Amino acid sequence: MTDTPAKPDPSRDNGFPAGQDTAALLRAAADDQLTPEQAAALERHLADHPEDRARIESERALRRAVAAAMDTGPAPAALRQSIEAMLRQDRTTSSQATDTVGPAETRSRSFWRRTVLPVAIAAMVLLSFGVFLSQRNGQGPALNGGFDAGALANAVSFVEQEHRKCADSPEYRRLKLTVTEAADVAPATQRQLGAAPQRIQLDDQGYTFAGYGPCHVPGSGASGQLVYMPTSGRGAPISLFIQRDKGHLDNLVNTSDCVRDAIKANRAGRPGEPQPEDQVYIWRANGLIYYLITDRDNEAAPCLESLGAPAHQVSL
Amino acid sequence: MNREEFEHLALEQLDPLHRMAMQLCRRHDEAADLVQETFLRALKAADRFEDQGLGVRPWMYRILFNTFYTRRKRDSRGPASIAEFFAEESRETEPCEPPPAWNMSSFDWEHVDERIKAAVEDLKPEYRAVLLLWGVEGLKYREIAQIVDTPIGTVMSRLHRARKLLADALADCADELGIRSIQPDPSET
Repeated sequence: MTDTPAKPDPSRDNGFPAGQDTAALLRAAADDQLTPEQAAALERHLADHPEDRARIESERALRRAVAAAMDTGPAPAALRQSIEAMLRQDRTTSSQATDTVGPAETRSRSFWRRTVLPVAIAAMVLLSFGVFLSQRNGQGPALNGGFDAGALANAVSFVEQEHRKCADSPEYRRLKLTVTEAADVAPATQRQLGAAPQRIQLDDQGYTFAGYGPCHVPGSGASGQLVYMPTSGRGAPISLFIQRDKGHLDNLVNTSDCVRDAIKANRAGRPGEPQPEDQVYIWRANGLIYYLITDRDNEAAPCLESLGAPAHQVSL
Repeated sequence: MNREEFEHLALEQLDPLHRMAMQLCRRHDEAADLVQETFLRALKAADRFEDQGLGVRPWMYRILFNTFYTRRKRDSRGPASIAEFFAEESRETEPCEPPPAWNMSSFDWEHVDERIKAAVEDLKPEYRAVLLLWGVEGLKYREIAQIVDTPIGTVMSRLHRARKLLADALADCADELGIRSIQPDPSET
């Protein structure tokens, strides 16, 4: 049987300033975290208690052992490439956004001006829309209408950004879309969201399922993204986001409507033309909220029909 | 700090951030997703980053932890925020026993690795996080306190307790691991 370390005698003089515990200071010594005064006191202590040097060494060994045992190695190369691509993309987008604004705006590209301000404006528009809808339904303005509007604005902004990243970066798609077989989507979403989308195929509309991956659309916990690539190999992908419906959009999206919104796309437009827009369609069904996003509005209707979206559209 | 400098410093943290993400998520895909979101958030908040003398590392770790625990909240599997999470158990007491005095030449390191992994897995999350930041990432107490948004004294208490638990776990299977304590000199007693 192995010997266990001897219990310390709490009454012994540890040589440290009053009130400082020997055990804590030995551990701090092993971590090189002592103040000069404590280090000097430690030296005096060790002169009287040389056996404590072994305790310090044991602590250092424990730290090395933890480092060795728990090290998972470098990050995967694909992740590094994906993040570098994301940084490049963001840099390009930022500089393109700068190029398209007037000189007075050129010098100010803070996050607040690029992202939060448009979201706030969108939230205000949606707030008005929420009040309009609740009044249209014969109710007074909902107390939580502002929250709902903000949640939807944030969600729309998020799905646009995520869609753009997947559209622009094959690496990002490869990394994010962990489910690559359409047949595996239903079990994955059932497990992740507690519900599965009824219809996800868009083959008849010229789009091939490229993959599904979890994400975090603001507002309602876990969510996921499906990406479809044009079967022809030409043109832009479209994305379908699904989110658990916790009723947080009750005031904004009726289950019988498909709400349509346009959002300034996070991509460069043609010189001299306005900033391009992406179209977002939002509907609710079977315990899920759906967000379809595309930059080809003319192709949206058949895709929406295939996915089972309500035919009645309400534009923001 | 300009954008280029910030990106350079942030990318230097990719490996340790991924390592920590793996410890938190336990799954490759979730860890990669967490790291991506961390970089995205860091990038967006770069304008507001203020170096408090510790560089970009604790700041990015904090984003990683916040993102992770926010997700846990969203998934209703955990407490609301990193501050709330780490405040769940605030009455920490320092372990008064000194560290063990092992004879390291007798260690069976291969089996120690496995035991340490198992012992770390058994730690409470708030202990595990602090221990990993200390042991794997080599952070100072002050950096850990900044990351987990907890007073430095609490960090030290948790760290010392976590180390004690780990040492106890190793001592429990001392024979198997070849752990021997250094015998005190009889002449001193």
